[in-house]
Amino acid sequence: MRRILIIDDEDDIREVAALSLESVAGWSVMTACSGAEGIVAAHAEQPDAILMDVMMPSMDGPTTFREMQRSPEIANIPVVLLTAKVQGVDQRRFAGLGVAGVLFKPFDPLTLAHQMAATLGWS
Amino acid sequence: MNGSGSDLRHGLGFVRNGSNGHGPAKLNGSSNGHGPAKVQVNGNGHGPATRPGDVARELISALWERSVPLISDRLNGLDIACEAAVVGRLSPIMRRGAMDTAHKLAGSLGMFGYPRGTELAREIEQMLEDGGVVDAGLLRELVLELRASLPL
Repeated sequence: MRRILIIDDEDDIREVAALSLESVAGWSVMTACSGAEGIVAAHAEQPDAILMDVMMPSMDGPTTFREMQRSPEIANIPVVLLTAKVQGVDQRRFAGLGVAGVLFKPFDPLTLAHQMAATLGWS
Repeated sequence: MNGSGSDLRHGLGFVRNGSNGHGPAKLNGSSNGHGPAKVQVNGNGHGPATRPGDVARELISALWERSVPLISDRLNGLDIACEAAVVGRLSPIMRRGAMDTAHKLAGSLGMFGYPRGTELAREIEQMLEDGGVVDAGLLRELVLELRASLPL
């Protein structure tokens, strides 16, 4: 069973994403509500992948990702960013970070797992 | 939640089962970041939902019900920004706050099956994001339309 860590400061997004991945794909999901909490959870849980919001207070998604890259224990965990930014310049900036992929809000809860699997190359 | 028992939700094809007289899915548990809410799915009155898609629809429908107060608070925040803009007192901080609020609405409403809400919230966000004077009348119009697009 795939194990996914969701990092998002918004309760409703976090919960819908978690329920979606659990109920549609049958994946095991853990959640964190900030970048700092997410880094701790990633070390502790060693998930198969991380789905992380871009815009979060204090430490945003790109900053959290860069912090993760500095830690060998979690640097290889693939990270998929989740963003409501639709402008091309933002999309290119996020893609240039070296993340596994970028998905967009609002996502369709019924296809989120499929999108994530496709992004990660999971069959 | 207002709406009929078969409230077809745009885009995602959600059919609301929670207003069919058999009771909505029940949400228990936390939103404290330590795990997803625990949800009890009642199904559509003919037994429990069994297909993953059906389960997800019911769970998300129940989550919408729980998110209504938060969504309402966000709309109220946009109302306050509108009022400030109308009297020429929309401060940069208030403008930034309203922009963030619109951004959050844009990111979540479509997820719940309200893509028109996402479009309108995105328009509001972009209007506030652009430099220059805010067209208070247009802002008011967009916020009113946004509110009207949701079954609150």
